[in-house]
Amino acid sequence: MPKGLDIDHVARLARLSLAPEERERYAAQLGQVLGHFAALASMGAGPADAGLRAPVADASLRADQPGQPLPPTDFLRNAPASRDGQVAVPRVVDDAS
Amino acid sequence: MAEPLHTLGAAELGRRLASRDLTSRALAEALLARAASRRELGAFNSLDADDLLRQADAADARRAGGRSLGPLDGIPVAIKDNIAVRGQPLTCSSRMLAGYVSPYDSAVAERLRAAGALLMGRLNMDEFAMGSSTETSATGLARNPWDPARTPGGSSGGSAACLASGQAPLALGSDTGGSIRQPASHCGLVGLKPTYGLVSRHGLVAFASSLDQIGPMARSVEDCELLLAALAGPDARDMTCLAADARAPRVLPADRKPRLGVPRALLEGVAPGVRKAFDDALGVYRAEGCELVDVDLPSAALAVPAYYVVATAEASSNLARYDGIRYGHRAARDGDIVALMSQSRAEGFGAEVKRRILLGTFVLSAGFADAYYGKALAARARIREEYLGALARVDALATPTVPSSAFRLGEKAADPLQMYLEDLFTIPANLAGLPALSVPSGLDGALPVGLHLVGPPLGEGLLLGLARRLERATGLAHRVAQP
Repeated sequence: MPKGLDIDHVARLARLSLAPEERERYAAQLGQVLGHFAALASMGAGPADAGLRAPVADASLRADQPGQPLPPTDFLRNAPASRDGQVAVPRVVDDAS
Repeated sequence: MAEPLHTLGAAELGRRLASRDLTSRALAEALLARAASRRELGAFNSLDADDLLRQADAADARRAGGRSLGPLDGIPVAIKDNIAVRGQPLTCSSRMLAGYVSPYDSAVAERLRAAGALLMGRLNMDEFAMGSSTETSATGLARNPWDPARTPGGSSGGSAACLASGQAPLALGSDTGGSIRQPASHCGLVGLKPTYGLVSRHGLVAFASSLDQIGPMARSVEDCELLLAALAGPDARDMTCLAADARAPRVLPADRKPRLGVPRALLEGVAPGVRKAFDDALGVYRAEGCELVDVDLPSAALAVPAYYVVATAEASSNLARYDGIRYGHRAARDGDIVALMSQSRAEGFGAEVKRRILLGTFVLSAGFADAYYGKALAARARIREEYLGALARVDALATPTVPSSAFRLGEKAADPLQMYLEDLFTIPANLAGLPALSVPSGLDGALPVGLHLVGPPLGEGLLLGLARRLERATGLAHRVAQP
């Protein structure tokens, strides 16, 4: 496994709960895959924005104009829970705090 | 005896519709019956028959009123389940999006509707397009119509299984590292990944935004070209989509024979049957007077690691939106907000998606980003330079599409690295933003094998012209697996 691969830390960053058996499996598999990536270490420095440039022409932003949004009902249909035209979420702040 | 409708290509169906020998309703009914008889292939996640027939009736009414919208009017196009169609499910074959219904049309859905095409069903795929076999789908396996014990490829495996079994004449796929071309190769189809920016991704569920493209799949070059023409066009909603004045197409030069570049150093490890089909294809081009030129692409060996760093890094960011709050799966567990999100994601995502999110998170994390992500971007830039340099000397680069023909289901499922190496030949075109296609070049036993051609930016017409030459010689167009 590459030095520094802390699967618990990575899972926390990724907001992903892992079962104990998943933790072991992913640590081993990521170690194998990252080992294959060792070839990249021989690369010299490259342009920092190499992956962001549009390959053919300059990308451009559309005009900043107001438009008609879709009706809220279309979005609430896909919400796990809704109430009074809003997405309902579990309480995350105590009344006492 | 008349050929069954499900075996006919889109161009021929268009001619019959135009001459009133056929109605769109009759065509839709025939394809729905075909889909029902081949359900075991797992091509569709869902198929709304009533909606398809309504669209067919509208197309017939347009034609009867002299208001036909063109060559695709009345012809079904099956849609991969990561492309939004208003009012239809959009699951990406993931438990995370089970029950999700698209609130709007993707740009390609709009364009197809404007061309009169019937938007048909939701095609199975690897979960969030992450996979090369459609085995990571949470909705069930898709099978190769030429041998149901084998994979149709992936991630657009449902698109390929649908076409090769005659359930639709045209289909949309998406391609981030080969997800159109690899299944096209495994199922005997023509599949094209357009130049980055040719087709709008508005309404495509994002996997790796600097690599993703939507493209056409079909059973012939002519049909593939027909569908591409309907898909391509500017769209201000996708900032990477090329403006109208940046779309000058590249074509084969009229004053000389085409030159095909062959990177022979990359061909080590290609399976014998695939190698023979490749050599036969080169023989066809040589016989047609094309010049074959050896080319050197020394950084191509870095393509797989560079791709899996860039793609997973982007995926870890793009998939952060699935937190169980506004849409998607939400875990029943209560508690603090981070625990809820983490548990929702743990329950909603499958193993391959989790693996890639973890990998992408790691390569972007403090202390490792320079060593992995930074190096991958450098490799990507070098690969692009080498491909553009080679394409300044030749018209297209030729390799097999995949090193081997379709493998047995389950054969590589436990070994992610082996699965990733399936994409060896297809990945560089995504990294470099270049157009590429797979066209049937022969058979390895009973299994189809594809030739892969990569062209210069906006060289789609050039590639399709070359593919048409091979198709004429092999006679491998319009093949539908029986029964």
